[in-house]
Amino acid sequence: MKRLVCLLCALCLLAGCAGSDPAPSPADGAVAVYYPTDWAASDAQESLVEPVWLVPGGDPIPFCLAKLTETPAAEGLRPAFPAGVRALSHTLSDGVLTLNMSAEFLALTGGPLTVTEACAALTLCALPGVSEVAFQAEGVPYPAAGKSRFTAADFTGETLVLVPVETPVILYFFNEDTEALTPETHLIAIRENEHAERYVLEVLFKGPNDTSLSSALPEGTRLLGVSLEAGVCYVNLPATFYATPPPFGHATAIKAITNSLTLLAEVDAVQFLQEGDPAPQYGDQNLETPVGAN
Amino acid sequence: MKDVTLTAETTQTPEARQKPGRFFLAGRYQLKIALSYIAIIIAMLVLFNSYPILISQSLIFRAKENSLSTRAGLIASSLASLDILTAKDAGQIMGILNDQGVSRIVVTDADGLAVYDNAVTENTQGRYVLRPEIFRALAGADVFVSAYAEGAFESRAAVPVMGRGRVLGAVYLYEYDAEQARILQALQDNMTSISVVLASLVLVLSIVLSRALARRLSDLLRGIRLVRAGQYSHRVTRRGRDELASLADEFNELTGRLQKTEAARRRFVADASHELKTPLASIRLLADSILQTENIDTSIMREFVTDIGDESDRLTRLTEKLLALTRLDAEVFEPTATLDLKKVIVLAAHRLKPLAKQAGVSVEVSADDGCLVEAGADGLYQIVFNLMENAVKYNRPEGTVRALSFVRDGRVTLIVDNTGPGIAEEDLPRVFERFYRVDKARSREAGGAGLGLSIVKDTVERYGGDVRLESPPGGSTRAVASFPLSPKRQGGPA
Repeated sequence: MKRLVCLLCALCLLAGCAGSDPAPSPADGAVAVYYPTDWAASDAQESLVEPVWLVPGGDPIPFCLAKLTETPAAEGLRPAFPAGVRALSHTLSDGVLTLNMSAEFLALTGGPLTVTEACAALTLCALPGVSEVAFQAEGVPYPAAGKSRFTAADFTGETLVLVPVETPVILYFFNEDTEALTPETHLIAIRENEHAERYVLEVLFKGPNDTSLSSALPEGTRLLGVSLEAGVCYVNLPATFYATPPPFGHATAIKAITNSLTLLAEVDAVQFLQEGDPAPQYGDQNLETPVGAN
Repeated sequence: MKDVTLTAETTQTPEARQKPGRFFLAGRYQLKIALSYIAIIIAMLVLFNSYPILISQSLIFRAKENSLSTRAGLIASSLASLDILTAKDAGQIMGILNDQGVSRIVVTDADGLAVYDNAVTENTQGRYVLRPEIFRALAGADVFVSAYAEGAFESRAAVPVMGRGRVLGAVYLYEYDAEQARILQALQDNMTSISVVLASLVLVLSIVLSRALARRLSDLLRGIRLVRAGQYSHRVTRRGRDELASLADEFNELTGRLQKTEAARRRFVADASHELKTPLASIRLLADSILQTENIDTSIMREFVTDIGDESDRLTRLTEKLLALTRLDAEVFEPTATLDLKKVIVLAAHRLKPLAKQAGVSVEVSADDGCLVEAGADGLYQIVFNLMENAVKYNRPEGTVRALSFVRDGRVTLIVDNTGPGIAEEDLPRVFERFYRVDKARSREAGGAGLGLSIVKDTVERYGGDVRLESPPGGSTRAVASFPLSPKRQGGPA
């Protein structure tokens, strides 16, 4: 008897597992229906609207219109067409899907209206033959004084951040053949409005890409800190930098740093510091005052 | 016959068989101490490393919230003068504001359409920005979110633009701050290095301390085991000035006492066997004499046999005394009762009559009533009899023995006087020692073995009393014993 019960349990488990299918994909003919998240509830929401992939039984347009009014099965999503809002009828001509909305649609304004329009547009414009969605209520476009026709391109759900941009900067390295400092361009990923000085120095310390060039600075140079004030860039280096003789002379090392930095628009001169204090005598270089371009 | 070894067999316990200095229990204790130090320090270091960082983070979050919200609010109020937020108007005002800082600024109208965006790439101007922060702001809320991840603080703020009592749009601000994050990271790195140094110091210190502690304990442990195995001369080195040093002192004293006791025991057994040998040798000699003489005269044989009888009597007395002593040593006591000393003295005097008559000594008794003592019947009798017997034996012909008892200052005093030769001053302190005899030749002749007085002393002291011998110049000896006066009535149980 016990064995039978166990067998039954095992079968039920198997059946249960088989029941939860993976989400349908476009390859299966599924469409994405967009629903709003619970964005009004807390500050911590990741997105405003989320797609749910469903397989339409027959004609996708009525299917989607019906689905948009329903509360989705997934957690944390709300119906795209809130209380009572629905498409009474629709017509498709020249890629424009005109939706005749119920009277409740007229009650929507501002943010909630945009959310509803966005869900409908993003969902329907992905369907074949639909490139634009037009909203009407009681035979007249709504909103009357604003935008009532939407394409998918009218919306963006991207997170609004500062994207690092590959910015070319010029750095000076030493060419042993010509015995002179030579400029080399590096691409640095900086965010807009971010100060480039730190990145310039870090890449300068790393060394040149071109193997025929060498770094004018001792290997393993570390940057303690950098700041910009009234056009003067304060470069804070550890004591080991000032104690180690650079490979191609003190003047070359200072020039490499100064010239690389002053190429930046906001830097006019470089003030060297040793661990926060004024820099000591560096070979034949006096670093008490800011060093300009050279 | 099984050999009775005088020293205890040195048995090796399983623990003792391990390497010396590495006793099982000591190792565990050291581990316990070291682990508890380490556990405490680790807990503290974890707290030290996490709490300040968390506090700093939350402080920075708060500061960011303040600054971002203020900036967003400033922008919002600048825009509030407009009726409708259009791209042109918004752009103009934003240009005037000229906001600094590593930020992305997006301004939307009341529908969520971006009218201004300062991004160079992926500019959202002219599109509806479907972001929850913006739509919450459009609904009237002030939004702030900040997170510390991947070496930077990323903060977002969104506030509504209110004009004439309605929402005109929303201002969204995003800030990317790697500078503060670097400072925080440097702080975290410093604390980590301090923690590592501290942790290693503590590790070393805890091992050193716990080992020092455990070593002293294991020394003591080893000492105990050695003494238990019979090495009474072993002493533990006293180290330091704390409780463990006191423990070592106490251990050494205890062992010293053990050693003395052991020595006394051995001496007693040696003395006892020596005493037993003498009468046995005499008996042997007498028997041999009888057996070896072919036609021994009957009267001589009678004489010898009588002597054999006397020696065996002496043996009997000796063994009885030895037995009494071992009983005292083993502390097997008879029950005590409230006894009248007078009755005991009278009985002892009566029993001594034949001996006294033979020695030509007269015995006087002058005992008061009411001399009640808490004692065992046999023990008390033994005390009185021994003292009076000694007084009779070590006397001169025509001498006297006086036995007195009275109550004074809450104590019952017994005095036994005799008119004997007295005891030399240098012998007085030693008379109560076992087997000690003042006049060796005389006392052996008299049949004694030097045990009587030690029995008396042990028994008197057991009953809470004390005894001493006095011998004033000019002869005579006086034994003085005193007991606490029993508060109970006579005959009552102890």
